Amino acid sequence: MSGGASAALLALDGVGKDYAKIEQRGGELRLVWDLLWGRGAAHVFRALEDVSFTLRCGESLGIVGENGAANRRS
Amino acid sequence: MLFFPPFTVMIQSTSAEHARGARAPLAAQRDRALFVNFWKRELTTRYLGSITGLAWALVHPLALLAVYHFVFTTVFRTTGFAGGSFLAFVAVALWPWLSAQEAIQRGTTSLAGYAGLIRKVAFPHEVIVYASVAATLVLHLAGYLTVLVVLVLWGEPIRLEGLLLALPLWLVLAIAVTGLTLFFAALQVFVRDVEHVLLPVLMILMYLTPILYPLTLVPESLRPWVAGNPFSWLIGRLRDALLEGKLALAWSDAVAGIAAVAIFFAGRWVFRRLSPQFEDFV
Repeated sequence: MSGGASAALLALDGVGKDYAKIEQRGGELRLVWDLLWGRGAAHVFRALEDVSFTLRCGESLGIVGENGAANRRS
Repeated sequence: MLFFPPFTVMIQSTSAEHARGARAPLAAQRDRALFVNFWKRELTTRYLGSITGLAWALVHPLALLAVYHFVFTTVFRTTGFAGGSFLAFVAVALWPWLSAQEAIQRGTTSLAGYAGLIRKVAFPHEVIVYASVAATLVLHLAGYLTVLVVLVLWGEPIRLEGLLLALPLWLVLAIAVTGLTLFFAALQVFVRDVEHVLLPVLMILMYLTPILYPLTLVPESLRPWVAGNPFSWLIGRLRDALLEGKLALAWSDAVAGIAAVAIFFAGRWVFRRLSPQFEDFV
C-alpha cells in the first residue's frame, strides 16, 4: 500500500470481549430474556480486557494467548 | 468453489468500508448487495444438483393437492365447497399456507448455514433471514400463479381478475411471515428447540385453518375460534377474490395490513436485541 509509513491502519482503544455463559440447564432462555430487556448477560466469562494498540502500514503484529482467550477473533 | 465469489466480494467491501468509516447510505447500499447475493445463493443452492432444479418447488404442493383431491373427493366424497370445485377451493388456499410454513421453517434455521460468516464478519444478520424468506416466497408465488393459470385452462372456476386483491394479500402475508421468522430465527440461535416445536405446531395449525374444508362445515359453537385465526381470514379473502371475483376492500384489510407491519417490527426488534450475541452461539 502507498499510505505512508505513519498512517494508522487499525487503532484499538480499551477493547474487551465478554462471552455470555450458560450456567444451568435452560439458562439460554434466561439469557434471551436478559438481552431482550437490554440488561446484558447475567453470567459472563471475560476473555479480554482493556486492549489498546495501533497498527501502522507495514507493521506485523502477532497475538499470543491461552486457548479460548479470543486470539482468533483479532 | 462456486459460492466463494459473493463471500470474497463482501468481506472486501466490509473491511474497506470499516477503514473509511462508512456512513448510512453506503451501508444501505452494501446491505442491498448482500441481500441480492444471499437471495441468489438461497435459490441456487436449494435445488442445486437436482435434475429438475426449481421445478421441485412446484412438485411438493402439487403432490399434496393431488393427494387431498383423491382423499376428499374420491374417498370421502365431500361436497359443499364454494364454487363447487374442491380442486380450485383447495389450490387457492394451499399455496399461501405451504409457502408461509416453508418460509418460517427454512428462515428459522437459516442463520446456522452462515455460522462461519457470522462469527468472522460484521454485517447485519437480518439480511440472511430476509433472503431466505424472500427466496421461498418468490418461488412459491411463481408456482401459485402457474397453477392458477393451469387450473383456469383446465376449466376450473377461478377468476384471474381476483389476483388484483390476491397479490396485495400475499404482500401482507410476506410482511407478517418475515416478522415471525425474524423472531423465531433469533430465538433458534439460543434455544435449538424452536425448530422442533415449530414442526408440529405448524402442522396442527394447518388443520385448524379452513384450508381443506369450508368454514361452514365447522360446528357452529367452534366456528368463531377457527375464524379468529388470522390465516383463516387471509384464506377467506383469497377465496372471495379468486373464486367469487369479489374485489371490494374491507375494513379488515386495513387491520391486517397494520397487524402485519406491527408483527414485522416486533420481530425485527427482538432480532436486533439478540443479534449482537449471535457470533458466540450460532
